[in-house]
Amino acid sequence: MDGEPRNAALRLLADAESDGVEIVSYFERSADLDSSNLRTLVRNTDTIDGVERTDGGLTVETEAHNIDVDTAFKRDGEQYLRDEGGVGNRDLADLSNQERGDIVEDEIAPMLMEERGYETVAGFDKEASNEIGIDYIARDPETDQYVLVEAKFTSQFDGQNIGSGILDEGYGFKQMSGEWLEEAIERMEEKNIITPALTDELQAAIDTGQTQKSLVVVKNTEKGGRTIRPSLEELEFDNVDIIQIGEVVQ
Amino acid sequence: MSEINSGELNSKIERQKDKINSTLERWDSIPEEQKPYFRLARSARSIGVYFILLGNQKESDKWFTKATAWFRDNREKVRNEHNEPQIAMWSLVMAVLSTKDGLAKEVAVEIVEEGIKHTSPTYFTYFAEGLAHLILGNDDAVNEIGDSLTTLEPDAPENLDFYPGLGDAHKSIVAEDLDALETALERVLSWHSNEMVPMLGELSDDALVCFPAIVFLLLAHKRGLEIRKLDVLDSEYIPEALFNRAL
Repeated sequence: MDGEPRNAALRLLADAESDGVEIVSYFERSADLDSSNLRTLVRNTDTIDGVERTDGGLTVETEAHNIDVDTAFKRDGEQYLRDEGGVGNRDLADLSNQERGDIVEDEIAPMLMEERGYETVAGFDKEASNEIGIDYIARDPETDQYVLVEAKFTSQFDGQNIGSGILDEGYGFKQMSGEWLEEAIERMEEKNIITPALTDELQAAIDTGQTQKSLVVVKNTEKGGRTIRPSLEELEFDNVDIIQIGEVVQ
Repeated sequence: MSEINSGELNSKIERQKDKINSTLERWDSIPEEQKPYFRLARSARSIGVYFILLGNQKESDKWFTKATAWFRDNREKVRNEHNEPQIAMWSLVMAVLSTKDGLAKEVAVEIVEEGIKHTSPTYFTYFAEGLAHLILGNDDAVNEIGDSLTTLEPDAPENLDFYPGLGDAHKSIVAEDLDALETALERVLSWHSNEMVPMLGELSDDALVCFPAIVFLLLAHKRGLEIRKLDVLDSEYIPEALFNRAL
């Protein structure tokens, strides 16, 4: 029985791209992507939409619980943080919790949004302290939707799927819930992080369904290859990016 | 507290009214499950606070009454969800502040009879149910909830004073103990000043006034306690105008 899910996973992945066999070989070579992880990824995933090999590793595009989930496996997580996370030559062990979060909020999430072709939004001061609200706001020019992004760096969920437990409470509300978003938008306007005009546009967009919710998670754990839990569907996320870097920050 | 002048307050009132009007203009086209009751309620709450700071209790009563209605609608929407306890609490706090006859009792009955299904964060559930029982005169239940709040393990260092303050305030009103009420409210006000105001921003409505302290004072007054003797009434976070009529 053990071989069946794995074979199914390999077949799915092999079908995903014309060079699938090569990709499967990569999976089998990778210590992080052993057959157990792959099996779990497939078991918890409704569909696999694609597999993309990148310079830094592999990204598996899936759908789970009605959410698009992109799981990126970085071949060298430390280098990824240094190059893409803006850490440079700093000793990773010296990074405070705040700085770890900032890597995702200030560098990685905006980069991913840009890679998708999303545009930065006028009236959002990304440089302003944003402890109080939405981590990043972008706009999808194709759909004209606002993309509201929550960014997380976690050393938890080792070998586990990402669920709503990764989201904190803010002002007593669950992050990214409807009430929290309304509260966050108000606070951000109050503190001049967003302009009144953008507040008005965001509120109108929420009312007309012209928003997307996105979660970007950098997962600093030994075990990877997992996806998401159903609890994220309750918060109506549209997209989740899980970036598995291995356990590189102690 | 930062000084906020009447011009700034009026400007904030107009801004919040604009938000309400814009939302209501598109109301019919918003699907039921997306209707932003919370936004309306929150804006109405802010307007109520700004009017009370301007000394206009008639207008503040009106807006706190609107806030009550919208928070009640919001509670229907989030029933059994994580955010229900806090929304239930706000519906009750707004009803008490509205000073509208019978409204607080109506909301309190709703909360006690239906119960709050979701119980996290715990203190919001205790606070909402404690206030409801206090309004309805269920003193044994108030004392029980008061004890739970007083001994509730703080989930964050900033709540060290807050939970015991809330718990003791409940119990002191039942015991009709003004000294104990003063001490409890001093703790609540200290939490508000030291923790909430820096976090919320000095000019937000829920930083300009301390809602928990106000609601306890109004309920204590309703029970016949001579709250005019309390020094906490002089706090900058207790708006004088709200108590002019009450006292």
